[in-house]
Amino acid sequence: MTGSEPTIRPEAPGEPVAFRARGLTKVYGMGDSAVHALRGVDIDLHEGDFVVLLGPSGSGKSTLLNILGGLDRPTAGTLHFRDRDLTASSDRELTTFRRRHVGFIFQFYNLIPSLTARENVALVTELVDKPLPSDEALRLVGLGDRMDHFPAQMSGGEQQRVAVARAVAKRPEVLLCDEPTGALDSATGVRVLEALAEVNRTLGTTTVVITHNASIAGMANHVVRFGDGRVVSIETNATKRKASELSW
Amino acid sequence: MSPLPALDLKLVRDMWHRRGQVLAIALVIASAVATLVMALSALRSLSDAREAYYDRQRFAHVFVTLKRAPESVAARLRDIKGVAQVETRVARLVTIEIEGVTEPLRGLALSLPERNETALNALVLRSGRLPDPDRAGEVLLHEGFATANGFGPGATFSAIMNGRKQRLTVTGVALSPEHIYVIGPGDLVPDNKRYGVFWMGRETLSAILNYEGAFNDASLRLLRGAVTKDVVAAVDHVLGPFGAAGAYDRSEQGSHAFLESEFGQLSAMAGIIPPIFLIVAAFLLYSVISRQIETQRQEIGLLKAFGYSDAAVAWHFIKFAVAVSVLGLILGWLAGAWFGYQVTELYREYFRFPALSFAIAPDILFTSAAVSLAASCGGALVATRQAMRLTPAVAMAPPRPATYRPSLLERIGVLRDLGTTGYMIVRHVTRFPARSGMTITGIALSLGLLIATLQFMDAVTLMIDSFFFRTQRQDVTLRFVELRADAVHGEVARLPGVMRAELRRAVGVKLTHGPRNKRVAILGIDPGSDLSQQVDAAGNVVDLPPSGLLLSKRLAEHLDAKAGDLIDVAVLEGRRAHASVQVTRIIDEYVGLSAYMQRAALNRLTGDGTVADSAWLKIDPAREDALFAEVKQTPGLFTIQLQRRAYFMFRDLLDQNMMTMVWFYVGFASVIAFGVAYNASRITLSERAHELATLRVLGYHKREVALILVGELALLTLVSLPLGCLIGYGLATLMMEMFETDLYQIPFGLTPATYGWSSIVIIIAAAFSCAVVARRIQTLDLVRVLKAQD
Repeated sequence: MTGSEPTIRPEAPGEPVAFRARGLTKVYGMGDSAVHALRGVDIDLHEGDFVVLLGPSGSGKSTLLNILGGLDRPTAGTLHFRDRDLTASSDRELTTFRRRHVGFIFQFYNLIPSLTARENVALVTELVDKPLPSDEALRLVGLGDRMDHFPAQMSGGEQQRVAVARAVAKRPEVLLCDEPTGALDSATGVRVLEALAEVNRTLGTTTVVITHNASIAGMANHVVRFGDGRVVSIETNATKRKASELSW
Repeated sequence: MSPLPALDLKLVRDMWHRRGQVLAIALVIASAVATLVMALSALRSLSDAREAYYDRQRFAHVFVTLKRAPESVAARLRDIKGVAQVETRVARLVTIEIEGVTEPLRGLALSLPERNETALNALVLRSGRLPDPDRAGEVLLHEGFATANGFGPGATFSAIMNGRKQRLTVTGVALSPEHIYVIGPGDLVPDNKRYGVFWMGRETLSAILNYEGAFNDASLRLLRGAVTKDVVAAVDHVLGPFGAAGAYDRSEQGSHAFLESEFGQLSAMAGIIPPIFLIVAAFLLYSVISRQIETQRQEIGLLKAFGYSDAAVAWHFIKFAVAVSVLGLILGWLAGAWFGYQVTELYREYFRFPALSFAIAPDILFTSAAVSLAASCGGALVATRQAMRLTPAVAMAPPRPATYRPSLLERIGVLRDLGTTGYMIVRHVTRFPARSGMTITGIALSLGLLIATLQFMDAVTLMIDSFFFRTQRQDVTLRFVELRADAVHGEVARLPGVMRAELRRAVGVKLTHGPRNKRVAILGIDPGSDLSQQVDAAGNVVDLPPSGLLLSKRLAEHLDAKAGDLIDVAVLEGRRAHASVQVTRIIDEYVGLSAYMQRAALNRLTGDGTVADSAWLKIDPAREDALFAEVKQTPGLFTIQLQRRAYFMFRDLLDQNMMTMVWFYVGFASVIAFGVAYNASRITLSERAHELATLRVLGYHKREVALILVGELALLTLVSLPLGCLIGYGLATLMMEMFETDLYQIPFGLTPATYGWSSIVIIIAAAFSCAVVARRIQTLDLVRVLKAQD
């Protein structure tokens, strides 16, 4: 690994910038009860990057992820996705931004229990112009034979892989993952991470993964460490490890 | 320290958190309570006022009118077993003239009751004084007529009595227990401007009508335990030779019968509407508390782990129902008191009591409290069984993920290609069949209630129209003082403005069929009548048979008679003839109990020759005044009744009162529909907040997400519509049966328009509640919802 100084851009950018954040600040509440979730974050994320955000609970990484994904707005600072100023976007524009460009994966899968795996994926393929067919997306995550199962009929790992398939089926430019393996055992987690890496490699999706699990950092281009609402360090891995080489 | 125990504090906060649902359910309960309190209190106020009035003024038990009997006959009436007191009098229907009023009015002239402490049907003097027996032309006027015409003591008017115009001076205004509801003979509704009752000294009136030492009307008060039926028979026996038209008890006394029918409607209202509301309220509480228990399983587990007993936990949730109930009760009591007061004010216009005040009896409040608490706690109890069964360990673990499967409709291939949101809606609805079923039932009940009540309004209109445009199409009825030979037709036809005149004869009879009998009047009509038509159940015009009898449906039911049966007809007047007559057809009529024959056949039966007692006229409205003037100049011939005018008056009255009632019921039904739909939407939102937030994260716009909520309610509402129409049909039938009396029967007139309008009202109420809930999607906190585990 090289570099340890907090910096606004990972070294040696080979690709154009996808996200450009400057002075991002997020304060929840007011007065004495105000919580400073982000205290001025400057960061650039490049197209096709695989970035891992590390940091203790409450360090601000989820807040950053939510703001990147257009789920939340910063209190101050600016955020651009390519040429678009997300901080100046309306609610409706943010929804459209998520719809067109962003795939989300959460710790607790957030599948719709009344829909089968295939239908859960179809939820997003119905929204965009040139989606990956649902079947193909599910095969990509190794669930070709579970397509007509309901969430309650699947294991946690399978459910999370459906979530991955759902997130990637729209061919998003950005994939945002909040603790995607947090609820999974090591072997299952590895399968999910493999799926993420596969998507990042084949579709060139800019991928941001939040984790408590430092060993996952090995598969990233860049590892951003958070502490107390600030970026503490950004490290760049010279070589990425394969998900299958990881274990915890 | 909080003044409340911690659990109660939680209760208060839970209620505040669900204030929309709490209010919706409380409103449903309040509607039940308000209806119950209003109907029962008005009923109690009216019947108490009536009983006190009857008692104080010694309202008679048996009544009889006759042609003429010497006063000495009264003694024979007094001798009848069971009779406590007899009072005879002179009575005559007369034409009244008021200066400046062209149309002739009708009045009932009665001789004053004797002036002693025990007089029957004693009057209540409201103003002025009693007539002086030594001064001719002094009268006491009934308050209804006096008020409508602005008459007080000192006012004068004329009456045509025994062929002579008498100038009368009002000495006082009075009320009578016989005339709480004042309605002219043949009228459908009171018309205080055109019909009035007045009293004169017995000697004066007898002198005018040539009834000295005689009477033509008697009232009897019975001893406790006397058998009314036997007394009636004995009176008929004594007075038969004197032309008595048959004695009758209170149930056939006009004013009393109308009051009874009003009482019947109030009890029907109290019996039908509150139960519907309470069933809905119980269901709503069940669903709200069930959902509360689902969302609070971990808290319940914690409470149990702390050592709270199952019963204590259940009681906590039941208290929620009790609190909602109490809120509904208070609102309902207030609304009920207000409605009751309004209704009583309305009754004051129709029913003339010396004192009628609206009071709410404690036992009615208690009853309403008991039934609403019972319904609420019932709903809550079923829901809390769930909470009682939870063991702490199970409760504190997160619930298993919801299990879904394709709905039955999908499996059999009916539903395909619904789109993912379509599947979400259908599968959620079918996953909770009991709850969806209850929502559907709740909305359907509100629709049914609306259909049934709106149809009731339609039916009343139909009844009135059928009466005025089929049965009695005449503009004017002329009643002859005596029976007249058919030659009178020429005399009547020559009156100015008369375009058509038809002679009629009505005869009081007792119809007997097997063990059943009924006192009615048979109306004799000439064949080919243009002014009245009889129709059968299919709406086809029925010709009058040459000798048989037509019976209205209700009368046929009373007698258990059908077409072809032989009925024993006992004439109650004149020669008191007796005959067996065949029923040829059963006809559809809604006002009163009708029996028809050809006039010639009726005259043959009574043996009176070719005679008539009245003429029905179609007149040229432009020459109305000339007709009235002519009628006034030929006194002693008849009284005149303005049928057409009565219709317009009745329609006005109906339109006013019915519009109030329509809004009342539209409001009621909307409260239920809104309450049920709001509750269903809130619960769906609560259950699916996570899913809806997920969709928002995936890039669904707010409107697309709201569509799932709206779609589910729309689906439930859609399914409930046909069910509601069925319920409406059933309720309408039930109401028709409960509201019908011998005075009125309610025709069944459900039209597609009623189904349509009612459905529209319910759809609007459901859509409104859905819109209120859908607004919450605007403020769905995506981040917070997704952080929480389902």
